Amino acid sequence: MRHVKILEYALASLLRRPGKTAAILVVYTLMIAVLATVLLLTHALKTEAVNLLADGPELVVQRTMAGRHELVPVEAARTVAAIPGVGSVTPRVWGYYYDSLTEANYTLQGVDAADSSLELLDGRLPQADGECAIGAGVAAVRRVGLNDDLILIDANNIGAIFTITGVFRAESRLLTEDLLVMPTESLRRFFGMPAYLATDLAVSVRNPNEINTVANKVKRLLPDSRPISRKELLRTYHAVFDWRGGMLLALFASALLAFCIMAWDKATGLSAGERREIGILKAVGWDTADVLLLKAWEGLAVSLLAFLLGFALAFGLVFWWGAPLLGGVLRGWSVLFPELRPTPYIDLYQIATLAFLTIVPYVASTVIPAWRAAVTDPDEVMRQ
Amino acid sequence: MTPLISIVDARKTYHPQRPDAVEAVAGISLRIAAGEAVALCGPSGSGKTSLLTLIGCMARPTSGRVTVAGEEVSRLPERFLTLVRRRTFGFVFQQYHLIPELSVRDNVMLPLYPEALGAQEMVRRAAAALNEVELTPLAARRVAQLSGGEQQRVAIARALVNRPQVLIADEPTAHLDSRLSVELLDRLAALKQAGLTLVVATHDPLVCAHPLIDRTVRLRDGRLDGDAAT
Repeated sequence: MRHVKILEYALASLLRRPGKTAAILVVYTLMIAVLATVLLLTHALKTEAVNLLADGPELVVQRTMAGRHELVPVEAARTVAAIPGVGSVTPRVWGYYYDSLTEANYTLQGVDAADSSLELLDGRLPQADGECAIGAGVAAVRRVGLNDDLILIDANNIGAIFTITGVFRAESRLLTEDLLVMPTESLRRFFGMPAYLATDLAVSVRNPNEINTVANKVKRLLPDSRPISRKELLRTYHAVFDWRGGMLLALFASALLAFCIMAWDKATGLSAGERREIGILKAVGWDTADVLLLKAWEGLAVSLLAFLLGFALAFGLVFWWGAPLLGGVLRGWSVLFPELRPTPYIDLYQIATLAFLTIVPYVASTVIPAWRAAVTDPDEVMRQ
Repeated sequence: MTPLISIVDARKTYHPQRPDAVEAVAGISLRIAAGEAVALCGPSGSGKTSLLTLIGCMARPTSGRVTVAGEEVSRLPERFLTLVRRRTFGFVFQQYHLIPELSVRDNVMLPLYPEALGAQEMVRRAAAALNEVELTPLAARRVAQLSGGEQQRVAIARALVNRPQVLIADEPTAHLDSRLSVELLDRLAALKQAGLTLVVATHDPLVCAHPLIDRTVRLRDGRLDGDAAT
């Protein structure tokens, strides 16, 4: 009951200083929102990457020369396919295209409609020469849609006309946003790529536990190759997003520090009125613990409210509005930003960490200076 | 008869380790019986307020003993000293020390928060205390809107809300004109009549000479200058 009564007094006390309380609340809420956005977005992007790569090949074999990615001979597929445990080997044709019209980079990929796993499509996959399907980002920047024509400049610097047969509407648009697919042979012609070469080899392995063994064998048989497992790719994604998230968090941690210094300054610089009020409370029979409890409740009320508002704001920003501000920073500065709509989730551990890093310093910076005022003898008030 | 408050050779020195140390109370012994009205009289700087803080358990003596209702309180830990102070004493400060942004009722309820009473009980007790000082109609007003005399009555109501045994008043007539001073003394007399013990620090001759005062204790330079029944 004592806690309830003092909490009641603390809330009334905050409402008595609406300007000051609102100012702290706004700054605090924004700070939490930014920190939570970085955390949620980093986690969401990592989850997206996992979902995205779930459908990808277990192993990708690239060829390298002088440490750089080179086209791989298609016949290497036979060598890889002969390795025990390998299910299938598919030579893939893909590459990048810079569209000077929109100053955007597209990813061009050759697909064979019959055995493609790309299903999330509005329309259909391209089947014939002169057809293509595009990601939503490409459609938006080129202002084209289903059945429209799309003109691209090929390797011979000649304009090639493609009819759009489909637009990707993948749940995860992390990679399909800037994607443009067409039949593999069409893409070879477009890129001027010889029929005996491919961009890389997609390898399926029957037993997932043998991926590393297969990768080692590939490396032994094709010394100029670079086998990359799905797990490694995922780890790279995680590392990139963790690094970017970490950098942002480090930046915003300094904002948090600045906020704590401000809170400390605010609290140590207790106004004459607040100091006097503490003196009066002590004089009328509150002991130091009561005053500290009051200040702790005040700090908790402000920080909890700010935390909830800030987290809710971050949740909305990331999961409903696609993180319009920080999304680009975390996803990378490619020219076409995928519009992110990650699946909402709640990670209690993450919430607890954020709460610990923000609420505890604030409450401490409120209570500790008040404690200095509260330990003075109540007879001080008699002498004012 | 066992005194309600007993002070034996009490001394209070401020900043004892520093060159500017001040001995505000220099070895005073005093006994106050339950229901008695005692006036501590003396000029400014004579140690009246310091002695009041020792009597009211607001401060501990540097040396000597303070006993309240038979319990030695001078060395009690702060928490227990606060409890004794809250439950035994009500204070009316010279500057009233009300919180101006709060209403009259909220100011009066301040000592009740640590008592963990229910909301209804708190309101009931505050209403009773306000009724005692005839301030019921002003209960919802903010203190800042009241006159000096009314503010002092709020301070008295706040002092009474915990139903103390002893009411301690520091220079209660310092900011009042003669008419309001007489009204205040009549009010204190009524409280004494109801069984309250009164300890009043004052340099106002009107208070020292008032019939409600049973005994006047004169102070000078932190020492007793005379202790006389009136």
